[in-house]
Amino acid sequence: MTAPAPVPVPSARAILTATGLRKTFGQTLALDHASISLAPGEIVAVMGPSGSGKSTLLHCLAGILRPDQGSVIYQGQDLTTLRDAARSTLRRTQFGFIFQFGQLVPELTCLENVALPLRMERVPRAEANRRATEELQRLAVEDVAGQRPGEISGGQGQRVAVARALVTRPRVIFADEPTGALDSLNGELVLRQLTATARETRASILLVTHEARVAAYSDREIVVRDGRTRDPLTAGAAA
Amino acid sequence: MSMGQTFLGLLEAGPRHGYDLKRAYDERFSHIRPVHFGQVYATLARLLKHGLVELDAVEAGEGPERKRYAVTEAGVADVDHWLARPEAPDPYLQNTLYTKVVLALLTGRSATDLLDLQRTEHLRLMRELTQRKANGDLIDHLICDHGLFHLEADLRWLELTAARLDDLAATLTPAGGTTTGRTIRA
Amino acid sequence: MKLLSDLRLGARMAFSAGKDGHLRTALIALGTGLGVALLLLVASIPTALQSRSTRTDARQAQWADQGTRLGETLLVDGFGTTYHGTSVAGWAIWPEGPAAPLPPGVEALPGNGEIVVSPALRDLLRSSDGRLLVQRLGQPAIVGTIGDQGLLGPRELAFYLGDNSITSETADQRVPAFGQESPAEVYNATLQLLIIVITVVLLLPILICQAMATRFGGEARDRRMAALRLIGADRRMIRIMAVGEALVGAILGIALGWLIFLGGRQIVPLFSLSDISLYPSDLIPRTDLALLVMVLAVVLAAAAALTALRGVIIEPLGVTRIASQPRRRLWWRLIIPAAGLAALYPLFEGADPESGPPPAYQIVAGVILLLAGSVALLPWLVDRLVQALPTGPVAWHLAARQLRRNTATAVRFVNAVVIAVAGAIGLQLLFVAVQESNSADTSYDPNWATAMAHIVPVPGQPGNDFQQIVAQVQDIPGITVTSGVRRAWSTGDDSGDWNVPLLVGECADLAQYAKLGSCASGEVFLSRNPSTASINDQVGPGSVLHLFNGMGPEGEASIDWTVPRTARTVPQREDAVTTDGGNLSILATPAALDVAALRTLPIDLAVIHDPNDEDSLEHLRNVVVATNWYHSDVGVFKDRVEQDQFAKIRVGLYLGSVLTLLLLASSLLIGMLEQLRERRRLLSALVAAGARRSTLAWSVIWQSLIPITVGLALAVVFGIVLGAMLLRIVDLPLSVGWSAIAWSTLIAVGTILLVNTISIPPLLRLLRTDSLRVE
Ligand SMILES: Nc1ncnc2c1ncn2[C@@H]1O[C@H](COP(=O)(O)OP(=O)(O)OP(=O)(O)O)[C@@H](O)[C@H]1O
Ligand SMILES: [Mg+2]
Repeated sequence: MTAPAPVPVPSARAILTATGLRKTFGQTLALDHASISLAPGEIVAVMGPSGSGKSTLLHCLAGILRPDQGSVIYQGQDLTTLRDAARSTLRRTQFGFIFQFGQLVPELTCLENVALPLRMERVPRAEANRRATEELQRLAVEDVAGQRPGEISGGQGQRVAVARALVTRPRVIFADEPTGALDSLNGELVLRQLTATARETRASILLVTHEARVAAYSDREIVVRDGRTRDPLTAGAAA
Repeated sequence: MSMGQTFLGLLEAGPRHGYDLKRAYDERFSHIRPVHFGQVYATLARLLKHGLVELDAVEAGEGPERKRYAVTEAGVADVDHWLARPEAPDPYLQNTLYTKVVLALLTGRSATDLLDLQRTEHLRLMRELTQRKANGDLIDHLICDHGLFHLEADLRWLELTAARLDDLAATLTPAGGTTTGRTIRA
Repeated sequence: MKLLSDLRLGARMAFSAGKDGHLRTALIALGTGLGVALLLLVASIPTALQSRSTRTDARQAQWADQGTRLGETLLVDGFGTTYHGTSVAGWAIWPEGPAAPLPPGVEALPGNGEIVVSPALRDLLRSSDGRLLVQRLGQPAIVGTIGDQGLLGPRELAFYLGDNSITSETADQRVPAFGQESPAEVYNATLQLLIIVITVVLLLPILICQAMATRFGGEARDRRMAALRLIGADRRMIRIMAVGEALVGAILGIALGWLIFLGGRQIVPLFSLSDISLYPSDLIPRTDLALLVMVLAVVLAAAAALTALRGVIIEPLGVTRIASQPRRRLWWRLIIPAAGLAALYPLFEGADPESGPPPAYQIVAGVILLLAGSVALLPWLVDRLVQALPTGPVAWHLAARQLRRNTATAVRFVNAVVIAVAGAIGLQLLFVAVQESNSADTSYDPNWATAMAHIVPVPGQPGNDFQQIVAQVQDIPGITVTSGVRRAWSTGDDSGDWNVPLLVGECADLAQYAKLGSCASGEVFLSRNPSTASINDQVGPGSVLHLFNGMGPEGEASIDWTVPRTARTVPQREDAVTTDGGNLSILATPAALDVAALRTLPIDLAVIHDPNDEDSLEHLRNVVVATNWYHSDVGVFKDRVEQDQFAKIRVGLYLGSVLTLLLLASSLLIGMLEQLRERRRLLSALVAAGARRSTLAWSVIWQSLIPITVGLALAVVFGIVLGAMLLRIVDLPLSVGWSAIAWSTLIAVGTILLVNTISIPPLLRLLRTDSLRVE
């Protein structure tokens, strides 16, 4: 198959657009002409086999990794040209992250973990704690607020992580296998709460998963195969 | 066909009209494709003939909808017997999807596109089910999950197949035959 | 403020980092605390010296001058002595009137035969040890104690003895008042060098330990920082947080350091060293130095935290460790010790005690660089060794592989031990040499004399006849007189431009001073120092000399005398003690001149005392001072007591080494356990795959033993080099004290074996297959 990778139609509606991303790790070509576009409030699932470059794509989009080629435009700014401090600020204020596990700071209590992004933005302690508590309540984990991540279950921890990702009311939430370590029931709970809140606050979600049941929470899906993105609709047309 | 046993089970809660039975059945077991009235009455007639249900009361006026059915003891026993018997696993071997994939490969068409297209279609349905689940009650949940897991299983198979396309192509075509359509990384 | 809130967040992590984190913070605090305490002590030296000189000045007697009302003065005679190797400051006093001044710390003047003593002397006099001193002082009645303000230190032995026999004519001084500025004491360059080196050698391992502790839980900390990066902390914030975390330990450490210092200060009065003892209140760190120490502690903690981050790129996705460079180059590793040697080299020959202390900074830099050099060479050597060693059993193979993969980590824990041991060896070598040079002047022949009594009999007093005194000394048990001579001085004329000593004694006595060849009664010899060129040529056979006894106004006697034509020039004995450093002395047998005409002559008695009977010397002193307290004196060439004191200090140094090493051992242990935990999965997987547990245990042990062994070998080499350098600086001959080296090494080996032993049970527990379950 030699059809060129589909380029997303540049849209004034898009909040985050990546075009022609290429990323190599040593000899490994992790991303090759990957493109994707995210509209405000849109939930896009990124699917594909293991090792196809899904996580790499997400990291490039979130400004965590710098692609070798291509651009990532967030609200008119090219993330690939921003300095570390500016990208860190974006992560702090505009983005939220939920990974499979391990993103909570083990030394802090759950409440402190959720309040942390606010505190880093210099929200006063009382206010930060109030908002964090609210967020924990929304995800029904307020009873573990005083405990450390090591003392709670994986499902609870993941909900705390969701609370932390949402507490700053981010514009884009990056979720990489957010339910990968959870059983079906807990996974479903986390996803339902995540997507419901995102819809409520009109946040976009980039949802990396290899599970169709998880992808089913999205509005549309993108497939990554061998580092290339394939929008199934256009790919089908090309075939 | 297990519609008979399902009716018997539904009647265990109390006698119903045929129309009620259809509604209850549709709601719980066949939300997407409601059963035809004709099928409902044919089934009820069969059950009546075998003595598994009986007419509880016939109200004034004519027509099947005036009849109320109640389950008999034989009917309850039949439900017991049915539930206690394991279902033979459905091998799904003669799936159309499988046929299509093999055919695409044999004819040198892009199976990957086919798989991606099919995934889109599956996901469309799965989104619908997920949506329904979000708005529905426990029964909706159970029904939708059932569908979702099966659909997911299909997709898993699709993914696996995609991953195996190389091997598959090698067995189906002579050596040096058509490409599989898989991009091979440099 | 942003900076502050980031710092606070870091600090918060230090407090809530769980059990491991607390242990780490405690270790940082302990390391910092010990370092701070040590530095505060060093920072107190200037104030201690200052207050000592203030105390010295306070009891310094003023001289009477025209303005002095002579009836209101205190007559003072110096009455100092030495007892059991400790000097005793003492004065005989008598008031000239009721308005006579009181010496500081004395409430009332003692009456005749009464004595006011320092608390330490009071204790001594009352104990059985002080028996001979009581006798020497004339069995005085103790009527009071000298207060702190009149003493140089709490352990000082001092007294004021009331003595109505002092007259204004004979008294040393008629004192109108006490308190006079005196020139500052000059401290021995060697002592300063010792203090500097001790400080560096103790401090370095403590600092390394602190830096090591900062790295504990490094993996967890890095993971935590990565998690913070993910939610938007930039690199600067991460660094600030790391600093904030380290500051907690540093600030706790500073507080702990003050506690240790203030606590330790209270026990300082219990010790005295070279007759110096200190009051706690004299040990106050100089304000600027104390501030510097605290700032240093904070800065070092922050620097250690930042350095620990340097080898690691913390990215939001996790931690990438920068791979250690595969090739270890030798040349820059050699530059460091070479730079150390270069810093020390210019100091060679440059430090004689008169020219002041050697430049401290240069020494500090040299010592640090030299010691750092050992640590720089360590990874290279370990690498080489591991590659060169033949492949052995599986355990060995695993250990070698692991070491090659990550030499840096394996070696990091050994560094502090290497520096501590090398420093200790260097210090001990310096100490052994200083001890030998201080306690035994090697140019004296101990068979010739171990002590010299200079006796100046009071003219006209009965019982001060030469023969009588010699007999009296000869009678003291444990004392053998090897030579007894009387001493007179000779000049050519009355100008007093030069004088040459004249020793009067029998042939046997004179033979101890020069190689006489043959000798008969009536002979005279001119004894010359063969190694000096300049010779007084005004004295020779036939010279007419004026001889006098040098006894001052009352006892003065002199005669004219011609050196006989038969006088032979003979070479001085090099191993003999010439009490006057002159090049020429005249040796005469009693028959060669009219000794009686010179009346009372000072007496030099060379004696050998029994080293096992320390009272023999005190008996000698009692006899000697009975003749004339303040002009007679006993000089000891080889003082056992002095040696004992040095031995005590060396034991103290070993103790210091042990304490340092224990501190290191605790961090070593934690580091080892941490490494084990990090490798738990791998090890358990190997066990699950069928590897024998003993094999794995051995591999872990080898892994720590190889670098330690190499490290200790390096430590011995660098310790000897350091010791040699320091000895050159103080101009002492190098004698490798193998026992000092062996002890230091043994202590280190013991510590390390202890750590290994302690870590084996947890290792075996880790290696149980069921620990796989964890994670
Ligand atoms: N830091 C890295 N260093 C080297 N190679 C990397 C790194 N990160 C990713 N890769 C490689 O890039 C490719 C894509 O990795 P990526 O993590 O994006 O896959 P993925 O689609 O997320 O897979 P999975 O579903 O298993 O998470 C893989 O071949 C991987 O080995
Ligand atoms: Mg991934």
